[in-house]
Amino acid sequence: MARMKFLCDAERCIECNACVTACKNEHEVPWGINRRRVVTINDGKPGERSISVACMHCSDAPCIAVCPVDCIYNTEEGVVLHSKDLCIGCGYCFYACPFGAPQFPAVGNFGSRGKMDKCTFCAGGPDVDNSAEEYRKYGRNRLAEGKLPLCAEMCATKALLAGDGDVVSDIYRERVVSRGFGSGAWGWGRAYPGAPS
Amino acid sequence: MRSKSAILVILLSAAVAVLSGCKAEEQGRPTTYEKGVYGGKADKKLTGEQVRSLRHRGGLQRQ
Amino acid sequence: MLRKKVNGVAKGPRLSSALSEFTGGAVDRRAFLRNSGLAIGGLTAAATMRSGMVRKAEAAVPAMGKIEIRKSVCTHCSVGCTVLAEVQNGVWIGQEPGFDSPFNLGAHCAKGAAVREHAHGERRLKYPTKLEGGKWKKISWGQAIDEIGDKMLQIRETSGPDSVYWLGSAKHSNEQAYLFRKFYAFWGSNNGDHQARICHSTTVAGVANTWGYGAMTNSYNDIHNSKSMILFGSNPCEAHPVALQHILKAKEVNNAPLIVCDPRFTRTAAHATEYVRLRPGTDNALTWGILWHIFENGWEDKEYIRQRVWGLDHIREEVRKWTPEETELVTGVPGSQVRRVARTLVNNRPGTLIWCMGGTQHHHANNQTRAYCILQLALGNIGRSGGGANIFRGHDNVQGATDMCVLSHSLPGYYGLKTGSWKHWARVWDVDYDYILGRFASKKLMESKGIPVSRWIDGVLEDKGNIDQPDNLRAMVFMGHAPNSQTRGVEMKKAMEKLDLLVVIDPYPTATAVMHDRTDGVYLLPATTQFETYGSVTASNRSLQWRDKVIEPLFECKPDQTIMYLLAKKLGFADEMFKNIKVNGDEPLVEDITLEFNKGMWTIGYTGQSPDRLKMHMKYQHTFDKTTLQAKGGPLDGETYGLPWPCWGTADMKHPGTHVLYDPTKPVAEGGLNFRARFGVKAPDKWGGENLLAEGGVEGSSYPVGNELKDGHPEFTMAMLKKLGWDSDLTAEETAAIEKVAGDKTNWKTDLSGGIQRVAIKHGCAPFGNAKARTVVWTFPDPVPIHREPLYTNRRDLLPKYKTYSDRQMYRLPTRYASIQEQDFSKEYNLVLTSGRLVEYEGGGEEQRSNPWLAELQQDMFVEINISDANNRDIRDGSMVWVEGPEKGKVKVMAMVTERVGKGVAWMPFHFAGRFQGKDLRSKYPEGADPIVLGEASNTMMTYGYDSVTNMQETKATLCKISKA
Ligand code: SF4
Ligand code: SF4
Ligand code: SF4
Repeated sequence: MARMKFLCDAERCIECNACVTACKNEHEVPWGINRRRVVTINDGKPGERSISVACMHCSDAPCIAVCPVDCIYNTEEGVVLHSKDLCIGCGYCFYACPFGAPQFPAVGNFGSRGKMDKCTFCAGGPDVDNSAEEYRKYGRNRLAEGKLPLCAEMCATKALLAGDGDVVSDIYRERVVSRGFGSGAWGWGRAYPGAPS
Repeated sequence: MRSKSAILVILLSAAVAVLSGCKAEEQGRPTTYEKGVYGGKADKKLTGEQVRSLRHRGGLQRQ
Repeated sequence: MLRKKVNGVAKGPRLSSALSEFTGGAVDRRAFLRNSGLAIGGLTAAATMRSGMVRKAEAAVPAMGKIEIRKSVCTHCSVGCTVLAEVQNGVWIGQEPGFDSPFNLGAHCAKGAAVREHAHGERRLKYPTKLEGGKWKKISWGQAIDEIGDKMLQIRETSGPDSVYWLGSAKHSNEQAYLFRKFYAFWGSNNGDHQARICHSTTVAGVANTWGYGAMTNSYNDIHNSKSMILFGSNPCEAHPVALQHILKAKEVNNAPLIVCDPRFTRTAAHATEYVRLRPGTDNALTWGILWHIFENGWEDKEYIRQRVWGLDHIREEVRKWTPEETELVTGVPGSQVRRVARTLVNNRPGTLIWCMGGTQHHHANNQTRAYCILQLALGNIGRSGGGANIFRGHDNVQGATDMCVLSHSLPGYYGLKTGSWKHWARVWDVDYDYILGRFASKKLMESKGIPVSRWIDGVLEDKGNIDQPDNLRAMVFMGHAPNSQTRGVEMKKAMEKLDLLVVIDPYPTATAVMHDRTDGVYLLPATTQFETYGSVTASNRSLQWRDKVIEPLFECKPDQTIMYLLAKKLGFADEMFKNIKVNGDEPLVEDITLEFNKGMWTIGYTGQSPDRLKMHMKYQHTFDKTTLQAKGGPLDGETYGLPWPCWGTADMKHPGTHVLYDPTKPVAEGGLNFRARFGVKAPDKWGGENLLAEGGVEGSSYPVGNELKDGHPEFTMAMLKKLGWDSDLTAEETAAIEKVAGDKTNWKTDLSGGIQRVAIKHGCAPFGNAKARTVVWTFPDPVPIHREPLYTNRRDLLPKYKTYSDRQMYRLPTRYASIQEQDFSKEYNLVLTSGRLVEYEGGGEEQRSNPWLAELQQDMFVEINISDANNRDIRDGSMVWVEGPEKGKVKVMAMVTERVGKGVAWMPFHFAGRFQGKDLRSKYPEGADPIVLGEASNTMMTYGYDSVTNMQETKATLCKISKA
């Protein structure tokens, strides 16, 4: 299979934040940690557009390159995950990430103090799939349940697409053809260099 | 002499015993480190069935 | 050092560069707001999370038991998104997308995606409490009901039943709403109402008086067929987010232009193909400005008008005055743009017209809603798939609660308050009319409109001699209503303090618990949310959906139907009220309530939606088409999803429901219709005396396919059936039932057997007749809709020409118009103020501001002010300001300097509460029930002004001054 990808269609995103609260809900992400957020440009002006941003699960992930303890890895499906057992909370990945995905909790609610947390593409972590241990550290593992990320599945306007890169880009391409324009698959150039968008 | 080597043996075996507590499994994390290689628990690949289900649900986003 | 997050919104040093790839600068409203930071929320939320986490983590262990999926419906807006709840061992552990629902196809907005938090309920009311000596004291349910009941009976004794006010809710299910309406009938007063009064009452009045019914004519899904879309004062991106899925489909697939008319450049405007910035309160003028071009160029649909529309010549006379120059002078919209909009609408038919609170919350809004209808009639867009007046309702069940007439002026099904109406419902209730009559202070009060919710404060504060009832209001019951959604907060506080008794029945304490300085006589009773009970709910498109119970009631909460039963028992009318409703323990059987209203709601066809049918629809959701809403095959083949009303006749008749109202291209039996004959067969002589019935004799156009009368006709009565010789089609039981009601005078609305409806439909006729839509409502203060300046206007130059009404007595109360408008406040109060919604919050917002997943996203109350207005006042972005209104109410909020609002206009969201004129009220909440986020309620300073027909409040155009705090 092709790898997993996210695509946010800025022509459609309405900044309704369903993706953000869906993520909070699914993984009981604590206050102050945002695995996903919606960014708006030209707020209140013509040309206002919103994009929902989280870890893009890059093919050549800069976070992996900089982690001093090598706790971040790529799964077979192209999802970028990390081990909270290894993470030392140094924050290098945060600096390296072009999307600002890594987050660092202040209290030891989610894993232990200071460990990095980020979007898992709803794929849990390296612990046993769907175990209580995995859930506690990384949240739910939807991919193992055969389901896609909840943020995308619940998106109000289907602006946020997730899944197999081919499926996602097909849907997007159909849309662009039907409406005659598109502002491009935002972030794809950086996250998946070489992929057609 | 004898007693010395006996002490040595005892010390060595004690050291082995102590060090063996450093095995990765017991610490729950890798104890060796190789630059650029993820050394944590291994993740599982998705099964064909899981992948099929994911593709199906991908299509549901079409509207 | 390395923890680089700013209140959890770490953007990363390079995100902005990644964004710039997309386009220019990056200022984002929420980031701006969050920079103010909020420690309180953070700490409390951390505590909240821990327990939730553990619960779900434990539940994630497979050994803990099977995960069941329960289907419910989101409680936060009228789109009606299906909620799939995962429940394990009685604990709600997760939510899944409801892909099968034709309404949302799996989607949600922020609120819907966060409803599971209801099951944590950390900040809800947990047990009955009363305020005693200034302190909240826990009491038992028994004690609460006894004390409240005794006090009410005492008030009834000394002041009469009209001194207790029953404030119901659009968040009730249909069954609860119906029961609540029945409750205050049995109590003996018309002083009951709910939120519809302050959201779409002017729509219902205006629209129903134009073509028969006051509801959304098509559906969200039907917008897929629209060739153009025009929105007035509607911001669905925030108020009805999932509606955008359908709107964007029309925009992208049909290339349909999306025109957004709003004083504010809303998130919806950002997705529009044309944004029209108009001055607040000038929708009527703008609509006539558009129509001017249509009439001037002869672009109207003449054949459609000839067959189906009456009175347009009177409208022409008024519209003639709205030249491009006059329109621009009043609305501020350039002439060329108005012309372009008119052309776009004409060239892209069928087009849908959507409006919301921006159009309805004005003192002359009944004019505006009618003007929108007339525009659509001129274009021939009503009764067509892809067209329609798609009025997006607000709360999840505001359509249903309106249909149940939790209102001060009607019985369920819009039967009104006449003797005949009471007799009809007495028959349905199976009690003597005289028994009901005896419950009221007098027959006159029984048949006169009660005080509307917008005016309850006047019912308390007004001089007794000026009120058309024996005494002032002395007790208020808030059963699911937030006070901060209503204007004149400062006076409301006074009114609350003057009451003898204040009762809140709600899952949350709401601002009613804290905004006054009372020390005694306040009771808070914990009600469940809709996820802890079950029943039906009506979405904006008139479809009914059945909710399952997701979890058992939390804490000591009880469902509303149980609380109503307990109160009725205490007040002494439970036996009569629940005569045909089974009561298990203290809980009335929900299905019995549905069946009871099925027995009486003939007017709007709420008769065919039996609980069994509705449950089947939920079960077979996946068999319905996502555009036509029609089931293709399966056990419900041919039915429309949710049996949108009218679903004629009895459930046995299996009417499929009506997807598009007044669509004559189908037989009535399959959901076709025509306009309703509601206003007689002939116009009054003063208005020309013409025929009001449809004419032209064109099948599928002037009359529905298969109509055997082949033209317009009046509504059906037994006498008419006999005249046509169709009475022989009635069964013996039907004939007997009709005979029993009123013989030949029995009509399609009062026939409890449904026989008249069945026979009329059998012959292809709509039971309510076939008439033209009427564009002149001769019973209204302005028969032809006209523009009137807001009560508080700064356009003094327009006043002689567009002034308001004279003061008058309405709904039992003196109501002011001219006496306010005559005073000029505009020198000091030199900004126009309007208000609106935020996507994360709904209504008074208590529910969402208590939900950490939502509260985190909107932590500060703010006012949007234009850059030049801000600079002129030396106000910086993010600084605190006072916003004061001409009635001297004021709020201290954060300034958000933006181009979103035009010069001279300010905007505030209205969902906040818990701060009052600068004072923090957190300490006044019962322990553990304070919402995470508090803020000033915009309505604290919002001003007087009520619609001339419905007494809707005027919150969309007033004046204010803004100064540094
Ligand atoms: S994929 Fe899952 S973890 Fe990532 S943002 Fe979406 S919901 Fe959150
Ligand atoms: S749910 Fe979809 S539309 Fe809403 S903010 Fe997220 S990506 Fe945008
Ligand atoms: S608030 Fe409305 S749009 Fe949002 S999830 Fe609920 S029903 Fe759907």
